[in-house]
Amino acid sequence: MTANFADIEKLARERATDPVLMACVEPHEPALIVALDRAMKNRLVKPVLIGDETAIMNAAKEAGVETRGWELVRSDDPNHSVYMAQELIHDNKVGGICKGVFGAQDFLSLLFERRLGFRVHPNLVSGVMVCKNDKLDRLLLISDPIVNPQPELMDLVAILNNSVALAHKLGNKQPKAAMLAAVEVIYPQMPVTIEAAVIAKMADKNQIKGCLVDGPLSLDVALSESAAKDKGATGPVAGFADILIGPNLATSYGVYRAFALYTKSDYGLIVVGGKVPAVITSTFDSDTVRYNSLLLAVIAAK
Amino acid sequence: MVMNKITTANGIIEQAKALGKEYGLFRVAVAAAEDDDVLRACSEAAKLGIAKFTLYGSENKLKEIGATNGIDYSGFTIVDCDSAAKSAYMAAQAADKGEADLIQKGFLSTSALLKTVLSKDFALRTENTVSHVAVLNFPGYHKLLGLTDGGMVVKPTFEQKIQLIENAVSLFHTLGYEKPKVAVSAPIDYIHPKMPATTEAAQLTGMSKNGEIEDCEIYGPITFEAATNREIALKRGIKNYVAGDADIFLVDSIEECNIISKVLILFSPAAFAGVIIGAKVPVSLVSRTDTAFNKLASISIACLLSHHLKRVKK
Repeated sequence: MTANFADIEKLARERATDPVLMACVEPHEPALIVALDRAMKNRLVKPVLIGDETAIMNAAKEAGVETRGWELVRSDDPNHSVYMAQELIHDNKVGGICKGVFGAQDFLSLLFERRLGFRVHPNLVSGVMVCKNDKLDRLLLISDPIVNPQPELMDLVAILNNSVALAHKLGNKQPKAAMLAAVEVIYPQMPVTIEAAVIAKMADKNQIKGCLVDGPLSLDVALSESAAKDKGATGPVAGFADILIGPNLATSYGVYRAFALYTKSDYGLIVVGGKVPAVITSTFDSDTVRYNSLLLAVIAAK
Repeated sequence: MVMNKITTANGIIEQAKALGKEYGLFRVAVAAAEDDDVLRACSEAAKLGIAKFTLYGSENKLKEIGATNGIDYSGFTIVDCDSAAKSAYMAAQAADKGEADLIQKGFLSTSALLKTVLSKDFALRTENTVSHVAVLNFPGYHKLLGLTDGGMVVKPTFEQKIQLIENAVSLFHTLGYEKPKVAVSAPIDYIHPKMPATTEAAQLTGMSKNGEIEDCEIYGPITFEAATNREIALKRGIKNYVAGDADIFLVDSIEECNIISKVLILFSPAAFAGVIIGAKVPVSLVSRTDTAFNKLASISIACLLSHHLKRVKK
């Protein structure tokens, strides 16, 4: 079972007998070029750069990376770059897509235009942050911080299933998932707690497979053994959660940003459930975060 | 007393000590006091010269807890009550009569305590919504950040958001901030008609600009990272001076606020002080899982707020 990003890198190397072809949309930023270079040298990824040639060259120069020999598709319109990547996905020519300098929400909207077939009916597409915090001995999967603003019950189940599938690929055969809420008990005045309880019960009844689910759980009870004990929460998930499912995007997004900015965490972020995995990182993410995300995409693709 | 801005959790405790010294110990009514965790925190606050405590609860049980846990009750007043409901009633009554400056929650539910405090038997109700503010002090942020509401209001309506802001602003006035900067949370930094949190944030910003909401500066919608990091904000083209320097982070739901706060408290890790605002007296509550320091900080911030409500605001 992978417990950190070094393990994930090792696993990606084992899985990637051939490098994953990665359509990189508007890769005009040095941090991304550095990450791609590293992934390429490790024979994990083969980038297909789509964007403005001069901007790409400038970014490569700033990064100190030699990109001669990298596949380049010229595009002088950002939206067009996304469409070209879409076509490559549609024609099965790439195994992943990676966002460069592009607003995350706009990028996702373009990606979701149905005619271009990123979405695979009836699968739900969702984002997963994979986080290794130095206070935890295991990887933490947090979902969905980026795609579905206000998921309904069955959307949450799909978000959970997507995370479970990724956890399986990361070598965790029976991940423990917590449906997050502000409290550990069911209060009718908090609809989130009811949904969480229903999903936990669905798992008990084997309607959700491949994982153990508990909910509602507060974040401290989900992750801290002592908090779970103090608050009298029993069961295998409380204190040991591998997967955190937030009730809505705003919550998961906040959790993602709080971990990323104000804790000692190594992390990556990908979007799963589409035809190929998508790497979505922010302008201020380091090359390490981007490399981590590429590793996750390689594992999700294989 | 000339008051400087308090920028750390430790500063909150120090200020409570200073006020306790200058104006006399704060008087705290502890409802359903039979809670060893709460009692330890009270005993610590008493030792530091912040407050004196009246414990409402079963005298026998209190003595038993004291003996088992080595808690010294000297300086404490014990009022024997035969039920949690009775103890809550008597604690509220003490606050209502002006015999207590604030109420500390013990071994009973928050909702049961508040129901009693806000009942028509007492004049402790105000027009305002009762809300919770958690004031966090975490590495990487250069000042305190008040997050609201992760404890009381499940899904604030627009009107309630205004009241949540007012409550949090009054707390920050207490901490010496003349015009606190309020960031209104959303997962994106722009207005998206399909995300009500963003349109409401924009409305609140407008009301602030027009002077309809006073004594603070409101800006939103804004993401957590842009609200607390100037560099990120500028990279995204947000120049408003609340960005990267927020004092208060108003959040759209109890889950969002509670869970973000807990990530910071557990993993940053953040020191924090939480308090319930909106009644005539502050209600302090501490969780079993809080560290001893955070419990002390929570009692202290409630003391500061009571001082502000009684001596400054009037």
